[in-house]
Amino acid sequence: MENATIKQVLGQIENQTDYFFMYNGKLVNVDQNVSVDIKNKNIDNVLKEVFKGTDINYEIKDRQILLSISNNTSFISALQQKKITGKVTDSSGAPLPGVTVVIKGTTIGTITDNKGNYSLTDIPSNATLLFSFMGMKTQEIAINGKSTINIAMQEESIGIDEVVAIGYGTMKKGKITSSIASVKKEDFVQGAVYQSPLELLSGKVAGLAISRSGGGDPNSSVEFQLRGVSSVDGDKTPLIIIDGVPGGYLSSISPDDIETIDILRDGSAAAIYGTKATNGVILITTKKGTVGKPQVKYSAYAYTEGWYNKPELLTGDEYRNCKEVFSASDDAFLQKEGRSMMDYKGNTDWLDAISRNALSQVHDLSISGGTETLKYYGSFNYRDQEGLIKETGKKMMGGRLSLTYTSLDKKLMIQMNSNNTFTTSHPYNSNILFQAMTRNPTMPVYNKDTDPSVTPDNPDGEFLEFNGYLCPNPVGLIEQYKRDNKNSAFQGNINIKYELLKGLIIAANGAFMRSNTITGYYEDRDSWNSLFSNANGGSASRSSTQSERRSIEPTITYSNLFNDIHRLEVLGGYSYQEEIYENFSAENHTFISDALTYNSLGSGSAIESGVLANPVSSYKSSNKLISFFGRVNYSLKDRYLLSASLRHEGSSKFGDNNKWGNFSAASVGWVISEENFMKDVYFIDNMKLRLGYGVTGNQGVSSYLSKEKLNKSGVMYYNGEWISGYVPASNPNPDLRWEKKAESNLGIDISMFNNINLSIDLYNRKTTDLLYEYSVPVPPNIYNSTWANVGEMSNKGIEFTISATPLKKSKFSWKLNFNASYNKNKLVSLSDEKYNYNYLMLGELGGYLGMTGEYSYKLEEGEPIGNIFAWEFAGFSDDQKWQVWNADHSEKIHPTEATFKDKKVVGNGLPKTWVGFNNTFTYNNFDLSFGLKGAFFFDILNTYAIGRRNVGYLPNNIEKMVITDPEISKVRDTRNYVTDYHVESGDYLKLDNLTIGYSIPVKFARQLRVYVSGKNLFVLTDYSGDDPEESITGLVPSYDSCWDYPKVKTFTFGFKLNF
Amino acid sequence: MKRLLNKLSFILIVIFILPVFNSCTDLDEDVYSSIVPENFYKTEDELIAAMVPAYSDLCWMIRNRGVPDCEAYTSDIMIIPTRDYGGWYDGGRYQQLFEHTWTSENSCMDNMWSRTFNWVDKANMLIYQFSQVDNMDPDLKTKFTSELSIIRAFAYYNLLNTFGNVPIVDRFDVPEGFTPKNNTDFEAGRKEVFEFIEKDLLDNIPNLTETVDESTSGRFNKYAAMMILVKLYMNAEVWTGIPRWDDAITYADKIINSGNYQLEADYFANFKVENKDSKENIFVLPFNATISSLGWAYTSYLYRMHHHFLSAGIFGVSLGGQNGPAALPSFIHSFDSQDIRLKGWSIGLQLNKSTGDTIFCNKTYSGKPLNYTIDYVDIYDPTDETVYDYKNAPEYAGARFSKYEIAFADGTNMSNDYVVYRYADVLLLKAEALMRKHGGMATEEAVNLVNQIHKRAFEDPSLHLYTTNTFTMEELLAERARELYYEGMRRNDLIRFDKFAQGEWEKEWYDRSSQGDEKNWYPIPQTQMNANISLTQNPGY
Repeated sequence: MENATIKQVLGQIENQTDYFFMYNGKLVNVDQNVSVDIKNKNIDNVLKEVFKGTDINYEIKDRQILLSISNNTSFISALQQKKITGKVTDSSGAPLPGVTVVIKGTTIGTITDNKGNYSLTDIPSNATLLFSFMGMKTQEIAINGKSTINIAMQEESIGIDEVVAIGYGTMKKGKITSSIASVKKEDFVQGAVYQSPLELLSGKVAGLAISRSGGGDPNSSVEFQLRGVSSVDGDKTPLIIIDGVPGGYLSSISPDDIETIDILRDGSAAAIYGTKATNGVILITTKKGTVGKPQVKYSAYAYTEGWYNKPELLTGDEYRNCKEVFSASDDAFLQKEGRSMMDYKGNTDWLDAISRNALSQVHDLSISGGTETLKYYGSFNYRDQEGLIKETGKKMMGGRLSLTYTSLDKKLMIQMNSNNTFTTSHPYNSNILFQAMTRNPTMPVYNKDTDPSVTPDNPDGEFLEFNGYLCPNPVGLIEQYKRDNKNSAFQGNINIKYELLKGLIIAANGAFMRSNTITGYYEDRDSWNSLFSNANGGSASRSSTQSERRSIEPTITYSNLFNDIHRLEVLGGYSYQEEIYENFSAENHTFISDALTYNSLGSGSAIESGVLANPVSSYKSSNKLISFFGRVNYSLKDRYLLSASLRHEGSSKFGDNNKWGNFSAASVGWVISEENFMKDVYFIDNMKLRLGYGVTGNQGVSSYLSKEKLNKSGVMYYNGEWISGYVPASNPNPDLRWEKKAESNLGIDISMFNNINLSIDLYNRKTTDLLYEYSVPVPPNIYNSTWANVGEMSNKGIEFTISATPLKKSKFSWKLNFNASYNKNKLVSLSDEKYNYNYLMLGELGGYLGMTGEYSYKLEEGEPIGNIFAWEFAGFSDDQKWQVWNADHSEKIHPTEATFKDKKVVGNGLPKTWVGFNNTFTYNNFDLSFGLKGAFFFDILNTYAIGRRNVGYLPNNIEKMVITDPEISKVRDTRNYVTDYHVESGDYLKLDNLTIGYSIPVKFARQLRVYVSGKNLFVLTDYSGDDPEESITGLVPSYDSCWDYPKVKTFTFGFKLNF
Repeated sequence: MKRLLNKLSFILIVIFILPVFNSCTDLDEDVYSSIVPENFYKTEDELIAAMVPAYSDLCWMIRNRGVPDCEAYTSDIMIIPTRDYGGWYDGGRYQQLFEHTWTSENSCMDNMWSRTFNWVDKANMLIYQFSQVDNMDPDLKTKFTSELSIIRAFAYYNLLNTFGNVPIVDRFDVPEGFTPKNNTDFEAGRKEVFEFIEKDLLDNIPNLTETVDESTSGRFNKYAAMMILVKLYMNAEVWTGIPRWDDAITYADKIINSGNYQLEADYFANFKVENKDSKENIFVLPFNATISSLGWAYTSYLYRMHHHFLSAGIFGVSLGGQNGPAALPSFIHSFDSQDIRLKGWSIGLQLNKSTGDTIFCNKTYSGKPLNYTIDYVDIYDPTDETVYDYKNAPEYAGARFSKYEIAFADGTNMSNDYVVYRYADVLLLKAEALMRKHGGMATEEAVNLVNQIHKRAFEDPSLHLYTTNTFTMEELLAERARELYYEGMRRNDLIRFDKFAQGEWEKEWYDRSSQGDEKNWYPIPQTQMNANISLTQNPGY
């Protein structure tokens, strides 16, 4: 700046930085002219230059810069003329140095000395003093003629000034009137996160249940559910919004690129998102560039996984021994079992044969920085994940770029984000584990190791295979079946904001996403399937799918503060979202060689010979969502808060009679701590009461359900030729509409003792017009089911969160967070005068012979989701057969004598209570954090045990306990039955993650932290299966299936390096 | 520069939004992969394609434990036993069929109901659809409409046979809010259904073709439709209380006298892979192994369900079976050992077709030769005192159904047409009607009719001829079983002979003697009672 006054220069510095100046205008001459270049220099150098050749001294205290005249010994003494003095202390009475004391409305002021004392002169008697200090609440005190004013500063409660995303905007936490949980990157789970970014929140947010039900499968995702099950057959998971864009691809966001995750829990917060918001909304904000020199961060970790709890099956030798003992037994039952067992002379640990010690690695590199006008953030990440089961795995490479342009007058902001990922994955075939657990351990893996007395049914093949019902060699299942999926996903958005007038901003957020997946599948010619199941002689298929989403959301906001007390913010907007899904697939069979796998479909001969009905197929569908929305936030004196929103939204999926709907919400807040009568309650820093009500929708069903259409189907022999036909595809329902959920929420947020934050929320959700596919009579309907809106469901609950920093010393600190939630679910109704279900049976027990048609879950009106319905175990009979109680408990009967009427609700698979307890300790350069997670008041149906913990399961392999357990080993029944004997309490408390880190002081980098971490280290539970963390979404929760990918323990080593 | 940028951004936002506002509130659905009805039913090809579902759904008759299966497994000829390794228990649903203890929850009930009503619905829909098309050839329209009415009558015949009092729906364009209702009085309702079928058949038979050749194979020509009428009249006494023996004989004679049908010299010619040219088969569900949309489920019901897991080698086909249904011991024992028709059952030691090697068990009798026994006993350990019966059958127990030739054309399917109505049945039914009119005593004419069939079953026919003295109603019922086993009518026969409800077969396994007459009809499935609250459940359930 050339020839500017010092005052102008100081103004410029204040505008561009966080520093502000304090000086006595009577003493310091700021009208002198200077010439300086202040660009890209640090503050010290700038100031040196500004004041060079003047008599002005400066002193930097935190963000304040105090100016004084050099011939005075100190700034403070220069102001000592007449008389207001006092002492400033903190809430415990200790003197507080460095507190800024100014006369309100001027820049005249001082700071307290190191004893907390201050002194001001020349003060008008009607003046008001402002006391401010970082981390303390600013206090205003009127002088009223006093000459001594001593005050105790109150620490500002942590968090109320935090900014929280609320959907189409942000808001200070202290002003929020709905139930929103916000987790910043500092509070994320510290260990390895590899299935979904939402694992970062595991056990952190009350009401958000997260379950790794897919165990160690690198291609599974975590399940998450907010405030219980709100829908029967519509979407059950929250809406994901990434950087303001609805429906982003969660799995392609690297956890390292996430800044904060905000969870809109209640209806009043979520209603602004209309028909997609019933299950809550999760807003993910990614990292953006910040002003400053480039910052380079590199983090990498490697982890290894092992069985959480490897089942103990009979070894080959034990199996042989068992055969001998049983065959020689006096017990006819055992004799027969012994007789059925075959000795193939080998010794194979099938679980070892299909698994490995998986080793995976993850790398993230990011660069960020920028100037006031252009900020950038770019990252590159790579992950190579191996699954515990051989061949399963995922490799993913991705990059993210974010640019933010801000015009100099800050009226215009343009932000662009793009995210690309390329993924190759090898999915898990659930039959592998099933077969490994079942297969006779005396069978060798390969034909070459086979004893000459054994005749395999494929003597020329590599793997020992036998014909028979569903018994492929599990290692063959891994090696002879190729499953390769490749996905590339792009998501990008551009967000433009322009301040038209002061407080009036127009903006538009446009997004485009595309995900392409190409899959390849091949079954070898001598695989079990080819030999004994479909006789295809090698089968190959390929498919290519593309899903595309576009959205554009223009908004206009106006915000202003009127008369210092009325704060108003108004938002209006329009949203257009479109989804297109396209698919193409082809298959062929009967190949001459396995060499081509799926790469040359034309080489097969099944298409030519005409045995394939549909060798090629393609499909395309689309749907649209259009809405208009608005919101008003108003606060009076920052004490009485009000927020109201309305979304008018229509979806193409719904019937012509019901395209459009309205979703409204209102919430109020009362900051009680601002009231005068609360001023004396010194330990309360902030206290706010919230009450909200909101209506949201669920449109999670497929397209075209309301429309009449014809599909190709069936053939007929017509005049000596086969011709294909067209048939209506479904029963159209032109009345089809969204599910509607009304939710009220009462909450209170309290901050106290400077470091304790407490939140309690009570909610009541009522979903009506539940979407369900109803059975209808044929005729007059064409199909026996129609999608309709009928039932009603209720969820009520309470959420409790407390976070605190019990210790904060310079060397040692401790932060904790404890949260708990309780939810009560009830399916109120599933019927009306037209559609009628008193109950439905679900959860068919597949996987074992003779179990088809055995349903074990009952969905019933007036009852919660997840009721397990079975006979009650009544002990074993004298001849060691299963017995169950008849309906009125008068008689013990064998299950084959028992009927449906004798079954009862014997448990429920939905956890009612979730608990999370997280702790972080730091000591010098060490840090330690751990998270406990627990789910309580639920039962697991152990279908694994139903089928297998039974001597009668021989000659398949069994668990060792079947012959050692004093009770089970005595059972002499060929089969097992679904009784409450196998319904076990699932309650658990687990050490979800534990991380120990050390920051190594180095010269070449700003930070170098190394850490070791463990995940799923131990579980306290009575459950006799593996890990009780089971599936919690859906209508058959906590069904422990014998096909599931094994649960794992994970150990991680990693480091983070910041330059 | 700054101004320019600001202006530019404003323009950008406008450009961004403009295209959207064009279609601002347009929520019409774009359908890409299906045809919307407005664009269909225009050309003759499309009209024929529209006709397909009416027939293609008929093949569901034998899938999914439908009517023919339940006719057998509830009767004295066959059963799906629960195996000693637990297979085929499946909630006890098959044991219930054997015991006659089924409930409305048994999924077989719904299979029978929904498959059959589906035919009614398709027929109604297409009759309506064709009535709406004005550019259709009038002859084709009449022919199609009458065929569709016959399909509907065939469906209602099956419903009358199984559930009795079912709701009659004879149109597609029902008024808003219409729900099908059955008569609240079972007997009256059953009579209404009977009369509805009779009228539909009599009204439409004149419009059907008399041609019997490849071009009408698998479709209802005049004689196939008359066969429904014969069977309807044969059971008239059971369903309406009024015997109609003369009407049955009249229509049986029309089929016999048409000269289009004759008995094949070889009983098994009707069931071989190439059974399209059988002169004996009147109505078949055509199959072709290379049309795989027909295939697997069909193969499964004629072969794979019945045979052992390791049976692929026995027949030289690529796939093994699932070890399900088997014959009841007493039924196999009822055959004369010389009866050729006994060869339709696999009994005894099973060998590999090409190598002659023994096939072995692989479940509870792993390593033991697979030897299908007629009785359910432990043949490998005579000292075993375990009770083997329908709840606990050794993996090898029971004769297996092999009447249809088992050979896979190409890949995994069979091409045999499934026989619904056959000339032999016409002869047996006529003989029965004659005897019924004669006070249940044999007549010369009746014995001659039956002997045509009976002598075919023996190498030396002269030794095995019935006379008016040896031929009784009892013998007729038994002969029907031996001739027509697993052809989807055994339960119906037993009910007509009043031998079903308290059926006495395999009494030592399960005693049905104290059961009521309601066993002569099935309960309306619970799923349907749920789907339609206007239905009245059948008496006794």
